[in-house]
This record gives sequence, C-alpha cells and structure tokens, in this order.
Amino acid sequence: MITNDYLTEIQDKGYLILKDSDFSFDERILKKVYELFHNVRSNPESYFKKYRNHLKPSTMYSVDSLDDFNKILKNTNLLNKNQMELIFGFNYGDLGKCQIILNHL
Amino acid sequence: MPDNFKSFVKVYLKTIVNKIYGIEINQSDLFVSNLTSFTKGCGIVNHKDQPHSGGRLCVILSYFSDEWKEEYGGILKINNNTISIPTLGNIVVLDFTKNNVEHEVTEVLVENKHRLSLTTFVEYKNYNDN
Repeated sequence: MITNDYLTEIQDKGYLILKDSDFSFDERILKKVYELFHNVRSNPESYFKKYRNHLKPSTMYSVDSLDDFNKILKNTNLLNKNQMELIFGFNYGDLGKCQIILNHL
Repeated sequence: MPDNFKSFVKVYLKTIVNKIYGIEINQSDLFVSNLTSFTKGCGIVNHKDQPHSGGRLCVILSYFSDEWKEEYGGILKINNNTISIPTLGNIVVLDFTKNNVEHEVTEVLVENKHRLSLTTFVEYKNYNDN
C-alpha cells in the first residue's frame, strides 16, 4: 500500500489498522522503542508503581466526560509542551477506569 | 523516561505520520503521549475524542502487550466491531481531519494481565488536505 492509499483509506473509514511491518522503520529506532516496551512488559507492576509513588491525592480526579478531563488538563498546565514528562493519575468516572501516565514528547 | 528514549519515540511517531499523511512534523507541532496500563476492570466506554478544529490530526495507538487474547477483554472497538487486539506490533490510527469515530476499549476481564499501550495525539497546525 502506498502513502496515498493510506490517506484515502483513513479519511474514508476514519481509522487504519496497521502492523509495524507496514512502515519502513529504521531498525535501530524500532529496536530502541521496543526496548522500553519490553522493559515495561517484563515488569509492569514495578514500572507503574514507580510512577504511582509520585502521585498525590490532589492529582487524582474523577471526571464525567472528556470535556471535564480536558479542563483538568488545562487547569493543571499538563498541556504545557515545555514539561517533558508529567505524571497524572485519574479515574475516568463514567468513562471507565484506567491508570495513566502522561509523557509529553 | 530517558530523554534519549523520547528522541527515538519521536522518530517512530514521525515515521507513522509521514507515511500516512505525507507531512513532516516540526517544532511547532506537538505529540501528547500517554503510556497506559489497563488491568482487570479497566476500560473506556464508547466516546469521541476532541475534533480537528484545534489542529488535531490523528491519534496513534501503539500496542505492546505480549500474547494478548481476545477473551482477555481490553479490545478496541469501533462501531461495536472488534478492531484491534493490543498485541505488540499492532498500530491503529484514528483520523481527525475528516472523521472522529466513536470508539471504546472493552473492560479487561482477567487478573494479572496488563493491557499496555502508547496513545499519542498528534497536533499539527498547518494541515491542508486540498
């Protein structure tokens, strides 16, 4: 599939399902990216616990909508692109539940 | 996350955006990434993300759980159809330039499993699809 086909498909369907082999990734880049994935995958409890230790009660939110969630992001300056690594735990409330860490790249 | 790792992730994400949209991400654009772990009971109900009006181009969902099975839950669904199982190497991209599909992540049903993903919203200021 060439690039134009990708663009046509994603704009027609709204989404694309791909494999990493569909991209011409630099092998070195993919190896480095998967190194972290491997580290997290090997011991996820330890990895996420490290970050959970930084969470304070005041950073835990319950939200009823994505709008509320985005307001919280703005209010806490989590969308400041100068902040390279931020940690934010929340409960999605009616949207579900998850643990989450924000990393601004 | 080490800074040198971030630089590799940036290249990884830029490659995906360039391959699909044919554009180069630069300093004025933004990746906002969430490294997530969903354990038993975690999921996200059906919803839409923020629209393109703010410059949002797409969201890239990169999965990296090992040997994930559909019966574990944690499945990405669009229009109630199973779209992707969160296994390492699977990538799903949702478009905001002309779409904003409703999607959900079904509840993870099993103990001692982590549904791991890197979710990246791409903010691109100057996209022109003409």
